[in-house]
Amino acid sequence: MSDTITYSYNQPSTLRKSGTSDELFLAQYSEVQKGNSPCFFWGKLTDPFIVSRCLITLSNVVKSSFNLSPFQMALLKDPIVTAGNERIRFEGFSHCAGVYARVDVMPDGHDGEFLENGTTNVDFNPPMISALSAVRKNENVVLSVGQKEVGLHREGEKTVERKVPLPIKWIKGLTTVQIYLADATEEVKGNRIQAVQLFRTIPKGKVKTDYYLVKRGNQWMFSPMKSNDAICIGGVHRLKLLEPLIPLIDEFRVFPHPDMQSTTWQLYFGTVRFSLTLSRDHWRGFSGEGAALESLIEDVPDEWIQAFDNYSYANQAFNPTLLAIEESLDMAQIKNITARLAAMGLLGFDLDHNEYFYRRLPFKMDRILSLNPRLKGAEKLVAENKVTIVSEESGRVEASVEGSGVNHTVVIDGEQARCTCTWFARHQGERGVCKHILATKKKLQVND
Amino acid sequence: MTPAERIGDLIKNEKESEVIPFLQKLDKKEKKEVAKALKEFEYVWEFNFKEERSGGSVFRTSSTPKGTEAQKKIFTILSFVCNNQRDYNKAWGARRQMTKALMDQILPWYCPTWLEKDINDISDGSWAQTPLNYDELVDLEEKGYVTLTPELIVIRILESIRTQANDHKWRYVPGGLWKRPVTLDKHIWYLFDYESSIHWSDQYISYVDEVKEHTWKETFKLLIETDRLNRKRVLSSSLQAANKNFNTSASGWFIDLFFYLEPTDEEMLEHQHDILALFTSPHSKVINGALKAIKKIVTQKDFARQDFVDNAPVLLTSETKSVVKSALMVLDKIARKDKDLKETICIHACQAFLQQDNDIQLRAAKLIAKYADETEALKGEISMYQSTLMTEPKGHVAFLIEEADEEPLPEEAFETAQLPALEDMGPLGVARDFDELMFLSSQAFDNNEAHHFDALIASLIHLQDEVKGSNIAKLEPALQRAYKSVMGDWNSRVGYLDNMLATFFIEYGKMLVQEQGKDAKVLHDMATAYYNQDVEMDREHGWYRRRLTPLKTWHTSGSTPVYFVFREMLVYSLEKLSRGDSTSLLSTPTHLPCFIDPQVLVDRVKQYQEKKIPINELDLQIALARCFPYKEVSKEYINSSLNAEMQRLFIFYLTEDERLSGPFERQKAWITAAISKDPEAVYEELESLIGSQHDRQKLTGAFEWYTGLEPFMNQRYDYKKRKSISFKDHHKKLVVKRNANENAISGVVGFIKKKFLSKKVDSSLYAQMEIKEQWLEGLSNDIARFLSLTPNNPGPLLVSLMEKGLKWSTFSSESDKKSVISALEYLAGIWNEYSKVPHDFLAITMTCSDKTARTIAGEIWVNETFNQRISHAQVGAALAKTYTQEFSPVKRFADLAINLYTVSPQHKEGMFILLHNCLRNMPEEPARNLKKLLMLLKETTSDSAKLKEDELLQSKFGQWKQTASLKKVIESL
Repeated sequence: MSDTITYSYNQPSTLRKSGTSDELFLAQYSEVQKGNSPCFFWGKLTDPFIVSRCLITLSNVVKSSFNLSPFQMALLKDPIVTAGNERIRFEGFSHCAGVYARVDVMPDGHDGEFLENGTTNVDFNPPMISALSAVRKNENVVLSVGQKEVGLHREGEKTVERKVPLPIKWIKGLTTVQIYLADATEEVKGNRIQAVQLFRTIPKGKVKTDYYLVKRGNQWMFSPMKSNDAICIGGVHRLKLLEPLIPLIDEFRVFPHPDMQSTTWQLYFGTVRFSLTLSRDHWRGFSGEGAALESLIEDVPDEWIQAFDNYSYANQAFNPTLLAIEESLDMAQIKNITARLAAMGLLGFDLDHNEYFYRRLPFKMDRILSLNPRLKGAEKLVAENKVTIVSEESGRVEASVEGSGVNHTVVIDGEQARCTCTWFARHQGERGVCKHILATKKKLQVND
Repeated sequence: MTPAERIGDLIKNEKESEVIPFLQKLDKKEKKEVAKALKEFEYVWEFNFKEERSGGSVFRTSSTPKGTEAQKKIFTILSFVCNNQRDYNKAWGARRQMTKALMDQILPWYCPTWLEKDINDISDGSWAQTPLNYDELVDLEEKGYVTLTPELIVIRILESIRTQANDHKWRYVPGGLWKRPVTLDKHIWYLFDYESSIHWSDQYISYVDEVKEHTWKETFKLLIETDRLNRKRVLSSSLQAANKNFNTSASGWFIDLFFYLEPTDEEMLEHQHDILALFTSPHSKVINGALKAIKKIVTQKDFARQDFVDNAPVLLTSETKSVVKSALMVLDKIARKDKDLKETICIHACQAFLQQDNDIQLRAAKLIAKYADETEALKGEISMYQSTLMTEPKGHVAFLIEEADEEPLPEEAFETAQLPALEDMGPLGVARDFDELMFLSSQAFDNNEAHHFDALIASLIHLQDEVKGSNIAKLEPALQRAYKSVMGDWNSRVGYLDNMLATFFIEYGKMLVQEQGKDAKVLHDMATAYYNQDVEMDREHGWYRRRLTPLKTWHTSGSTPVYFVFREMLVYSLEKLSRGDSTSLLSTPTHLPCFIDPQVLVDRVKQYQEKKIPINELDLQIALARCFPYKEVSKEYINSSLNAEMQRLFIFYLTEDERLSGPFERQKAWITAAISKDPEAVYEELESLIGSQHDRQKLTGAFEWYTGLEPFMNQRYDYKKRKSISFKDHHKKLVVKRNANENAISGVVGFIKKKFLSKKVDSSLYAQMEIKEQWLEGLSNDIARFLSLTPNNPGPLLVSLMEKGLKWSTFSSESDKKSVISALEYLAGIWNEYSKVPHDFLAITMTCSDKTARTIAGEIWVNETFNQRISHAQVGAALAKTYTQEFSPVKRFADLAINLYTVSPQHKEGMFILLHNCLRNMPEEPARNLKKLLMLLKETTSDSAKLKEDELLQSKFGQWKQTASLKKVIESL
């Protein structure tokens, strides 16, 4: 597998001026959907001013990095867009994979046709983004994801080609963030004025300590002081990416993860939504988190996943409970399947509707399943026979796992799994379980 | 002769003219042989170093190249033709040596496949590796050898307008730009599309003709004036480039270029949509530039007024004041001209009321007052900004505010004062079974949580009977963590206390080895291995100091007494473990962060008395200092549980019965109880134990302190005398007067007092809450645990922190800052009705130099105002002391306070008291920015009579009124 990915677009994305209306043409490219219709969506935007501002912000997210050097930042990754089920969703990650952003254009946000369901990369080039700044209110703007008229360009002709290192972090981030979103719940809701006041309290510069979202009287604010019921936000300066949108919103909502491992900030503008999800700390990407690990050690039949992939369409809601009933599967298995599908890049998550939706990442599956180091480490421990199950009785399993210089004790008691290693001691399972626990679980599976 | 031998001959004998004919004859295989053999000759790029010595030491080093210029040239040609890109670039000199002239000799008959990649190689996004200049590169492209990337072209074209001759002086040569058509047709426009260093490319260049205008801006002007570039396109491109997310300086440069070209009003009008698009820029300079242009054309008939109004919300909420002011100015002009937009403008203008700046709000209010019709929409909009609208601007829009609008916030929006309950605090996580002990001990030495220190000790004592048989080996990972921690596996979260706890655990491990024999073999093996490592390191390295020290002699370099308190407790705990005594320590907290349920404490003491276990006096003192202050225990319960002195002590301490009766055998416990109960209360019976006023200050921390200028000898370099000279200078300092109140003690009575009484005080818990370390490095991670010992009287520690970490006007180190922040964070969780010292500490931190610390201090103030456990007058008076000699600038507190008083009416009232007490105690000489405090006082005043009655304040006002800028606001008070 090549360690670079090449985005090949027939032509660059542009904002074309023509007579009374403009056309925002987004060039698309997917390495897994060759030969399909080249156009996913073609139609008028209801609020082009807001959509253009949201796309500018998305491009700022994609360009940003909170832990890398400027040299690495120069290697741009393009956002992906999913069109289907009357919705258009643009998704992207910061370079550090710690900030996830999505623009959702809802069914009333456009008046057009979905010529093809699917997910694709779209070319975000600086001149096009710069041109978006000039989109005005009450302007007619037609959005086209992919080229509608095939004849305009010869087959195989590539005018834009960008090679970038394979965005492993992106892919892993996109597959992990959904699991955090699915666990998040709405905790805070506020209006535009409250949002402006709140964003004014973001400290200047790069923030190293955690901040907490607290309410004082009728006003929300960020405070560096820890309080029990407050929402914790690491690297709060990343929220500055949203600042240009704040004066334009109708309302905002915040969805924290129950263990504060992520926070999602959803901005509402009538028929358009912008959501920004922050990882626990500015130096931590979703890519490095182990939320999907446990589901990956469970084996799910490939045919089953293939069938799911074949019969689903873009943006279709995925209801695990319904599936469990229809397929007579037990709920524990369904939870694993859902996490596994998300980890394979087949599901996104919609917080407002609290449901997964189908979208297949426009990357080859073997890229997506590039193995996780912690999972590899666990498999190695099992293969080298370094895991000994000491006792197994009434739901409590105790195992001894060889570590570096010492034997670690793993205790799995019902839902709770603990280990004496330093990783577990430090994170207490909040960043996914350690390789010793994974290895014990794998060993138990093998024994079964 | 093989090719390898041949190149040896060519290089050694410098046969430059024979190289190319030789290479032209080689096939692919032979080239590979040459490449392999060439490695031997890489030495031509190396140097011979020569050291010249005098008296045994080197005084000069010189170097001469190993290869001659001709040899290097031959190597370069051979490498270019035979090597792959990686090997070619290995000899850095070869790449620099490959001139265009050399390439011209080779490329007609051989062009490496990697040449294009190599030429376009840019490291760090801004540094081109190729030595070729713009003209040479374009020549290569025109001849079809390479395709240049735009990124490379922008780097090289920037340099193309100037040249440096052998005299190292620069000459301006813009002619190169119109030498080839492609330059002005295509390449120059890349400067507008790709980020470059154009914004600083003209800096630090001095031309031989000393003309300063040989800049890129001037070059564009020249190209336009000579009709080589289209003016309209340059104007439009510069506006677009300013908004392409280039860095701040580059974006700013393009907006500057736009104005440098002196656009006419018509031109600006023509480009108005490009100008309006600049409002999405993240750079305030760009937005200000756009507003500057718009101010000139706003009154023109064809100005896109609606588009500007649509963008107004973004501008009016900007954090840059000049942007908001300019936007309001433009909106004013639009409203005057376009009646249809009046209402929308007034509604948008309300957004300026979110700015916490009186001037801006006033402008917005005047604009609204000027154009507003009393519509419901506008009234509704203004009502949303009631809480942020300041008094003066409010007056201007009063006609739009309906009485009914001033509805107070629902009660649930505010927390109400209530005494804190232990139940809300969560229990200390003491292990309930061996599993929990095992997992707790493996994470206890990393300072993940401050309470792990207490939890681990309590768990070991509580579960000591479980640590036997096969369980012992399960403590191996924890013991390894302890050893690693002591041996130097440091991370930024741990403090000295973690090292001490690890030392304790290692000794506990040794105890297990002694007692449990073969079950503890793994622990024994580990102890032996680390011991050997420690001994070995000590033997091999002179700088090494043995790290595995006994707990009893554990110490830090500064001998801070607080550490000895912890050490004594650990030694005592180890004794308990070795005795097999599983009764809980008296001082183990029952609730987080560090409080003990008083009733549980009574029960614990009862258990000690029943089992006849001697009470450790330090353990008892810490227990008293940690006793939760808001829970009473009945006298009957104490009477029925305890006897003798303990009964008397706990009745005094935990009930309202404050009668004291001796004898006071456990004198330190009595002292601690009395001070914990109320540091300012005087109990006659105990005075003889406490001793002098100075001794009392040691226990409460209530030393006098002041801020001012401290003289010191500074040095500066005198250029005339050519040497450094010393001079008397001053720095702003906070001084704690530790010894000033020491009563002169003389005679035999004095000697006895000093010898016995002071010693008693000095060895009591509170007197040991002092930091002696000169620097706070390493202590910052321990501060929270220090405070956890004495939550009922943190004064002695806080005053110590004031004199160590807050003594300068700005924090002198990261660790000072970290220590203060850590103390504030902990203080927020333990604050109760404190005496003077914590208030002083809070006031100083509310105006200290770090914003995070100020914000946390502000949060404590907000919370404790809700809880009604703070004295605003004390905070205000202490704040005033920090303004002496402007130890702290007024702006720091003023900016913080704006966000504090708006929280609730309670806070507004609290802030008024605070400011009143601050201002009346301030120096007569008005401090810089005093107006900000006076404005705040004006915003928070609900009862101006109180101010008028205060003679001291009025006399200060009289003084300050003489300053013109303060007169107006003082009169309005």
